[in-house]
Amino acid sequence: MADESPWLFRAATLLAIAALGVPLLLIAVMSFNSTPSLVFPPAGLSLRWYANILATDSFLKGLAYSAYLAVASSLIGVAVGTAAAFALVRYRFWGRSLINMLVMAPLIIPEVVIGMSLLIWFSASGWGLSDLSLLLLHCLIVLPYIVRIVTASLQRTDRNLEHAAMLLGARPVIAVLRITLPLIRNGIAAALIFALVISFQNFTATLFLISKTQTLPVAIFGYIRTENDPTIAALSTVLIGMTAIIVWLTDRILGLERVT
Amino acid sequence: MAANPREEKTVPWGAMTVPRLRRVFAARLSPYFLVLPAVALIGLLLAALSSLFLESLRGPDGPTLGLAQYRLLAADPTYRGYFTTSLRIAFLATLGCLILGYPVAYYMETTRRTVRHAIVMFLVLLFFSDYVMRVYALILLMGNNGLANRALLWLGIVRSPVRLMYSETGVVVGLILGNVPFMIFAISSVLSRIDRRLLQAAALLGATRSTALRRIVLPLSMPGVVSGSIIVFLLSMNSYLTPALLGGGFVQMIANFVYDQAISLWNMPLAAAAAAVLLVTAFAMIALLNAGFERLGRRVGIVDGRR
Repeated sequence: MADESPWLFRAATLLAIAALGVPLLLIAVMSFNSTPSLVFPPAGLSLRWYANILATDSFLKGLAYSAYLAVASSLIGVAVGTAAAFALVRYRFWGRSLINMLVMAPLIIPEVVIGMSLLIWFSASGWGLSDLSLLLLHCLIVLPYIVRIVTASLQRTDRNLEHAAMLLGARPVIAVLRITLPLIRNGIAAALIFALVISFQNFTATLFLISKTQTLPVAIFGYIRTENDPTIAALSTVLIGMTAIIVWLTDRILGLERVT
Repeated sequence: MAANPREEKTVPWGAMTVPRLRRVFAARLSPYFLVLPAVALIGLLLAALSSLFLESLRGPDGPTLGLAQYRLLAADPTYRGYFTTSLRIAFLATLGCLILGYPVAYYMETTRRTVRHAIVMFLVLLFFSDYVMRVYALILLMGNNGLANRALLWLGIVRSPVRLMYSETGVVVGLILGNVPFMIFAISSVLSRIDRRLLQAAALLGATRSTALRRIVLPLSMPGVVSGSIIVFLLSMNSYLTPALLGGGFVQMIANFVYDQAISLWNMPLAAAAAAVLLVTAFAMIALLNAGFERLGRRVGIVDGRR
């Protein structure tokens, strides 16, 4: 690659970063607005909208429910996805490429279609909509990300280390558990983080399967549609702060350059 | 798993002891055991998809199966409009992401490591941020009293607030800003693999920087452009949230139509048919974009004909 970009490209980059960054800064500024209007610039400073987050029941319930869904589906997804990735990388078996393709399917199939199909299936099969249907949906949605990240991680490990362990008398299962799994530890951690994030912010497919409790994104969506005050700006500022910490930690511990 | 399954196969069957037989079977069957849970999950999705198609075949009255819902979708100009609007918006959003994203990707790969790292961190922050919240941020930016209008008024460019939101333009801008990180990542990952010596060679042979960019970097980055475009196109065409919040009821895309029919009106067969058409359109667009880019690429000589 050339050592420098043309000035036009540099200007375009600056414009793009500004266009992406200004809205986030705007949210933070508006969240301290003392009046309920969303007019820029804020009339005065106040923390009342942060207090309002804690006073709004749907946000607290939504946060708890989204956290539960994210943790449960990510843990299940990592177990299921790592096993599948291991089989797909280490074995050549009949149906391998078909399964490889199918596991990636939730990534290509539109979310509306996934949500709509599962809605019809759960109603028609008599299972009905429950916490379980949402959990299964989230497992499905995080699966391709997990399989892709763990697969890449497995492909980078040296198989000879496993062979060496077995030559030294370790049973295959022990060799995998004691040698391979520790080697792909970072890949699994990255997959877990991605799965948590993807599940936590899933909106469209989730919207179709909501039964009793709302997830946080759905609660936020409902609030934006009905209310018109900066509470969402305050909540968003908190969420951006949390996300920034996650990104920073991921970078420090795993190195973003290798993960993305 | 066995250390080397091929080795086991060479043992004649007569010489098989029971433990060895068990090991061969374990080696053959273990991949299936390992993928079983994942396949079961995907099986649920496939079962759900078939029930979607089945539902879409149900007539408006009675249990007879037929294409009535699809005929209804094709005949009604309003329904057809949802599809053409979605395709048009997705096309414009993809084009916008390409124009906005390519320079960023190129800049990332040519600048200092620390700057590149900062941009990656920023893009991952966007990618990890809740999408509903990011669309809300655009409401604050593009609303009638939003920052953009205030800035335009203050600068004296306009006299009264411009309607940026509640229009197709607003939705397209929202989708561009929402999805451009995908485009940047897709292109930059391909650009980072380009051999720098190719550019040195081009420079030695007298190519200016812009010629090298046009004749070498751009063609070699085509795979990233294609995959980025496919991702952005699909995400834009299927978007529910952006038109719902930024379109304010004035812009209806397929996803909004499907949701309204299914959840608000409980007209499941029509919603199922619309979703089925959306699924087929999505797959068709992937194939079309792949083929289209390749064809265009070959005509201007930027995609290798042998591919």
